[in-house]
Amino acid sequence: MSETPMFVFSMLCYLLAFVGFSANISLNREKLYKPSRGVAWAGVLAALVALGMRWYSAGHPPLSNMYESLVTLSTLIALSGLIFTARMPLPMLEAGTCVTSILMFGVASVFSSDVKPLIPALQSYWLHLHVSLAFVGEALFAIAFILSYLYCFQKIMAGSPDKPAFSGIIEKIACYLVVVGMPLAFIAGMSLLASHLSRHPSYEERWFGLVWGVIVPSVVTMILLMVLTWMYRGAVHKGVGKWLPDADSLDKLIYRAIALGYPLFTVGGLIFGMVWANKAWGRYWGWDPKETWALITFLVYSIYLHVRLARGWNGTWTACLSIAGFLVTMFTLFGVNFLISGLHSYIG
Amino acid sequence: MRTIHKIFVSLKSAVILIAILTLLATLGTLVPQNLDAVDYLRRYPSLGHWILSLGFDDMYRSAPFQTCLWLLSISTLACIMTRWKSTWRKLSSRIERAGAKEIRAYEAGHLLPGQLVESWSNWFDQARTDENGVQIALKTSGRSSLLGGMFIHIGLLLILAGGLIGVYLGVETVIRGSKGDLVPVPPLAAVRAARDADKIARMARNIRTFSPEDPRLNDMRAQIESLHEIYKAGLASPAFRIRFNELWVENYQSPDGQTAGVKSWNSRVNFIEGEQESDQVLVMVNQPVSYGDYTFYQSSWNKFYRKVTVRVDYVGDASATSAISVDPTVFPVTMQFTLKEPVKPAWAPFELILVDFMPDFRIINERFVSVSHELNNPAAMIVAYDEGGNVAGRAWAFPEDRMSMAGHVTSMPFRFTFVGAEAEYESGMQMAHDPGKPVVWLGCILFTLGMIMSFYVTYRECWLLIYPDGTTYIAVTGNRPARAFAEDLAQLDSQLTASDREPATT
Repeated sequence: MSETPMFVFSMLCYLLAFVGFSANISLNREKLYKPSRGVAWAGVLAALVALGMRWYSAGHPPLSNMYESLVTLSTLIALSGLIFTARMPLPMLEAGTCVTSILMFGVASVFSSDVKPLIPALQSYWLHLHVSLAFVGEALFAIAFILSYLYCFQKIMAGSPDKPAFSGIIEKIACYLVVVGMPLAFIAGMSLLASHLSRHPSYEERWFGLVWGVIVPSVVTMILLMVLTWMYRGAVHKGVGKWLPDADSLDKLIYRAIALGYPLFTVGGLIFGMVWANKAWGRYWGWDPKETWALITFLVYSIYLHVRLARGWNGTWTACLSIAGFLVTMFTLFGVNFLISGLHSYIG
Repeated sequence: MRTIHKIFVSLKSAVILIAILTLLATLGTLVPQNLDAVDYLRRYPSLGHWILSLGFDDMYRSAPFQTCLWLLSISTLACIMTRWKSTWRKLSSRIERAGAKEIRAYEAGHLLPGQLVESWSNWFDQARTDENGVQIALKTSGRSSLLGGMFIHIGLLLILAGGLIGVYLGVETVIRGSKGDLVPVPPLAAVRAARDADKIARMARNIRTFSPEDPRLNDMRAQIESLHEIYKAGLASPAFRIRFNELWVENYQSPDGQTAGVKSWNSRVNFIEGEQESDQVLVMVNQPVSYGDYTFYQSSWNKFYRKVTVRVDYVGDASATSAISVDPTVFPVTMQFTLKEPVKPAWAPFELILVDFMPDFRIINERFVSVSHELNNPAAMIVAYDEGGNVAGRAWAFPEDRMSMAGHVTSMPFRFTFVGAEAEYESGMQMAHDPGKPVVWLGCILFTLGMIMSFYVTYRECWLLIYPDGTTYIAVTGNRPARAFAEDLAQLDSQLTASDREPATT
């Protein structure tokens, strides 16, 4: 039995949960929160079952190509979002994780879902350890990214009267760049990917799926959300005040997500990767583009932790660093595979 | 000196160094690495000179990158030394250094509303009375968390040190062998000499591109020659030899019996040192084998065809016909070629050589290439030489069903049809020696432990102040926000407040 219907069911659950969370926030209906969370859990469980089925049918964990990586990461993001908010309800974050998971699955559908046997280098238990742990770290970075986005959104809505004029303006500009720029950057990135795939004979007509399944719905949703936010900015302002914690708490939540994700990513993505590379290729580090970009991801989050913990930076600039970190993470996942060839090219 | 120390201890410098390292690493992935100078000048007409003069053509060994790594190492060392003092103070004499005023300033703290239990001292690890007569008691937990940062930085330093040891003393090369081959493995010094010769040769090529008469080239040539001599001497008296006894490739089978990709490639080898011969060992992907100073990794394999059989027909309509006399009745003839080895058949006045064989022939970007190791679309190129050693004609051999293609590219009076080819395997083994690896692994372990201690272990200080007037104050602090200690504070409160039951003691 194919796992695809389970994945589709899971995506429908995320979509329904997103609608539920959005209604919970915009219509101020608290009763909708728990059912939405239940639906999101159903989606996660369905995705986990689907991943288990794929693991069983393929004989190896679903981590060996782009399709498998993306559906696994999509599930981990949704799961991390639900666990992260288990004690502190944050419908805006949960809605964000649902959207991220849907988009990631949409991108995954562009790639071939055929089960292929593992190439010799991947036949190692280090595949399970290296990739899965790195993905858990990346899922937590995604949570930090969504929280950082919400932080900037809140800053725009709330204003920053306590700040001196100039730095306040600069911070606001940074927040606007994040809030408006991120969706635009996503659409630009996806368009670039579609254009790249359209020139690739093995993707045939699949890139159409990316255009009609991801880019067009994202553009429409983005325009709709922006118009609605502008039209009902008073209500949105109130909603943000009610449904998001204060800026300081949001900042601490961002730090918590990164503090959880950073060790997992470092151990899984870098150290286990080094051990495996040493076993398979005879050297633990070869400056392969994927390795180097994983190191760059590590360095960006190291800068975040240093400036936050030791220099006491917090707020907009650390949120921007967290966003930069996630963009680098995504480039490590996608960009390197498509734009730069190397030893990890089989992942595409 | 003090200023230099200040710069290295400063967190700002560390962050700047990390940022520069990030930028350089990014550039290293965007600029193609280790090409020849001419390639950079052709690809980047305006930036090529900058790339070459800054060493960005070999970014990770370039002076800017290496300097950045060295500076980061010094900064990390300075950080370790500075942190060690404060960490040691916290670990060894925390209670002596804490005053009642500081403890009262902690966010998670309040006056104890009830009566303090008599057995309160059992609950705390240490206690003292300060100069104002205030009794200060302290209980700590998760002290290992204080060492987390130290471990992370020592680990990082070891990783950097191990990496540098590897760069200067490590060697890495590939040896290849087919079934029955006995491959000499030179001693470390010889392999290092070959590595250094390659580096100098590359530098020399780049210098020659800009100034062919540069006087440094002569020195470099001499250095390369002397290093090559060392390598040749190493090959002549190797550390040991490897005999490739068996090489095989396992394929996945699809349900219809077709091969569906490579499952594994394997070599069975012996190590021969002088008169001694080791037991036969199996080298597989992800299962390396160590011998002598080296570790061997099954990193690649190659299937190639040295012996190719073709059928020869006389066609007699090519340009070379007029120059030769051939007995057409002997055809067709079947003959076997060995790649690059000349054959002089009795029926032709030429010497024939199989110059190239492609098992899966394609024309991509006007170039003839083989896209796989399988005999899906074989093509053999045969060249005929006359007695004077001049090329007398060329011919392509294809399988029978594709021979229509051959007419366009043949200038001999014979038609060669591909009949078969014997597959042979060649094993590619990565051979590495890196004395820095144990240091790197130790660094990784410390780094991991440090992260676990820093991020996942909560350090807690539970304080009790008893003033001479009997007022008691409790506070909890540590490496988490004050809110995280609210529960601990409530627990401390209930345990220290006298009630019907006797408080729990530890």
